[in-house]
Amino acid sequence: MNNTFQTILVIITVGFAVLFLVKKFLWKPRKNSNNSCGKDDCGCH
Amino acid sequence: MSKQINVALIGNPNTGKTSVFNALTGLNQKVGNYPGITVEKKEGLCKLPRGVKAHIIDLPGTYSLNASSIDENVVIELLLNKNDKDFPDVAVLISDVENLKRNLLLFTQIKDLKIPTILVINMADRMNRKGISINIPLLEQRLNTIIALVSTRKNEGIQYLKDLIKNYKELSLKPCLDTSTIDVEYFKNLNNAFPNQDLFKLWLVITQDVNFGNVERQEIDLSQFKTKSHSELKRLQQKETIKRYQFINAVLKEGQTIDTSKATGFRAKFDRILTHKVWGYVIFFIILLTIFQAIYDWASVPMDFIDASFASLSDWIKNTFSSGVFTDLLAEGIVAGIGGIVIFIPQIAFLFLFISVLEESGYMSRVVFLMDRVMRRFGLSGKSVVPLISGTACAIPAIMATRNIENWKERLITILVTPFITCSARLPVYLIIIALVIPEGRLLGLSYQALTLMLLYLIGFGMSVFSAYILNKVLKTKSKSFFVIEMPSYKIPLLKNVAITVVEKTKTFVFEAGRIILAISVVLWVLASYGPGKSFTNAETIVRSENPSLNTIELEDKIAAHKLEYSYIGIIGKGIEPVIKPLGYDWKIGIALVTSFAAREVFVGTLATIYSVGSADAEQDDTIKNQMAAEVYPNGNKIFTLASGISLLLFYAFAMQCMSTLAIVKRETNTWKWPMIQLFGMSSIAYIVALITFQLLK
Repeated sequence: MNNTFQTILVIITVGFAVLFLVKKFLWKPRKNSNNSCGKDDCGCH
Repeated sequence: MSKQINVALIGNPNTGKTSVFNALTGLNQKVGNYPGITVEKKEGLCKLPRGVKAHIIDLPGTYSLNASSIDENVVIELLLNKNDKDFPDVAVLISDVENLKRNLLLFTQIKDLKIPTILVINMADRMNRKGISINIPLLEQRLNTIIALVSTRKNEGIQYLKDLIKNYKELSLKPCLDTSTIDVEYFKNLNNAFPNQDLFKLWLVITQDVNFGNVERQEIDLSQFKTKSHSELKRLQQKETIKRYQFINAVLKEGQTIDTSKATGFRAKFDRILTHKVWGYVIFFIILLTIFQAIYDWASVPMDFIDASFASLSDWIKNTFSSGVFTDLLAEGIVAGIGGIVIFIPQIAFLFLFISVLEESGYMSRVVFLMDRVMRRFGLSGKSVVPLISGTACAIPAIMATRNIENWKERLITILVTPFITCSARLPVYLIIIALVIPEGRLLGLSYQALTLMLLYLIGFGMSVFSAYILNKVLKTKSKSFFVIEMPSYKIPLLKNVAITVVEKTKTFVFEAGRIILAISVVLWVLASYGPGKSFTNAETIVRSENPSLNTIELEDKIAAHKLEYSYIGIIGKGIEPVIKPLGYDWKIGIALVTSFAAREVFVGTLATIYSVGSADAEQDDTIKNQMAAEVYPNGNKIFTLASGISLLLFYAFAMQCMSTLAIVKRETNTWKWPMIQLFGMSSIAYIVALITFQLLK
């Protein structure tokens, strides 16, 4: 019983950890709307 | 429901806008006694009398509404776009009492946009000392505004400012300058072409250097209007500036008196020494040495205490909670991983304490001035200095600070070389490796360890300047940004500001990195505690049959090490080991190199977790440092030697081990091309340097 409970806790913790890392590093960020570059020939204007 | 008032805080750089913002909103945005801290707008809420709320927007510093860089463009985009949800109901122009004349240029321009404008004269506590007296009623009458004398240091005038903001509708909209007087004929034609548009607003739209995105260019179709040539427009802009200064001079002649005898020569004398071409660098060098020595001397006691506490906590969890996988995860994964970051709180706090004091005192601007001399020899303008110096804290705000560099190539070079500057995330890696491989002796009262740390900072700076020189040749930058730095007055650092910076920066370091480390530690623990195949599941049988003569403790250690080697993480580590072995690293360090790509600080936490899982002895009460020092190869040779340690230090000095920085570079350059060049370029340099170092020193 104790082992099952601990295993469930580990699965939940690992699930949260993986979700957090995916969200942090792999989630596509919102597209930036401002033209964040200088004024000459950067090609983003 | 009452309407929220939109308030824009506008002013020249380093006039204390963010201090006023913090005083109004109760927030703790970063402030500093040098220009260019704020590069994008920041927002907060302020409660005004009678339940009215104000939405306060802190904008980047600008000298005028003739924008030439992105941060200045932020201000103009907002002021010209009435459809913007943040378009101000009232503008609060923050001026510095010592530079009122220059500050009023921007004031007159904003006023001429017919936006209700309050003039704040900040740093009013310095008036007596500087022999400045101001006739407020006369200035108010001549400038058609209401003035608030404010001292954020003494928290004076803020309540009055709140009252003025609440009653902004009473402010006069009368302009300071009749725009048509700049060139009567031209503005007459302009007025005929756009009879419904405000003349000064039209003039601003026509004369801006930078792209306005979608700002009212769509509304104002200039294609049908024959405008003047670029040089003619520039000449008219200069004429406008002269006319404004004629107006300001006339106003200040009556409204302001300065008793120059009271303004002592203290600042000039200090500047002569601190920016001297020899003594300036000597003093800066001594200050750096003091900082690094203090980081070691002052932080070692709390660092050892934290390290031992986490080791005890891990043991306590194992001994107190009922045994099982979750208890193991807590003790070996989470506590060990978090311990690997919390241990560095004292050093990080001391580092930011010093940086904050240097910034607050005004010394940092002198450093910028000193560094400009060095930079120019390597093809960088002084405008790159502020981002590079900001990079000692973190590369992300530093890269954003490049927005005040007008020239794109120069900005790009600064973005590309900034991650070489030693950021605070490198500090944990440096500190633990230095503690392991550099002896504790002293030279002229300075410890070898502190000297090594300073050397690493200098190497980072040297590499960034050297790469800028190379990139400058490759990218062929033709023109340089014009660099003018305003030397702020010396100030005794305000304890509150210093404390806020230290607490906020340390908090960010711990919580931002801490969350990543916590998550990675959990995943690593799983990968290190489970494995495929019989070598992992039958570890005990295999080890017992291979080592029949070992006692129980030795046997348990062997089993734990065997399991780790055949776990998922062990298999991955062994897979990458051939690539990193020539650098002097084993597969465990290899795993730490991979995970620390998320953030450099993860390195220590990863090793702490792996070593924790790979050791069977629950009673050893071992610290991270001791565990790392005890790591050996199967042949008994130590893993962390002088050769492998220096190789690791140099790898981290040059490698682009930060995903967040890459994301910011992508955002700032609008392409993946440059972050990828940065990643492969820096990683290659790091690999080659680490390889040569290890092969020479081993």
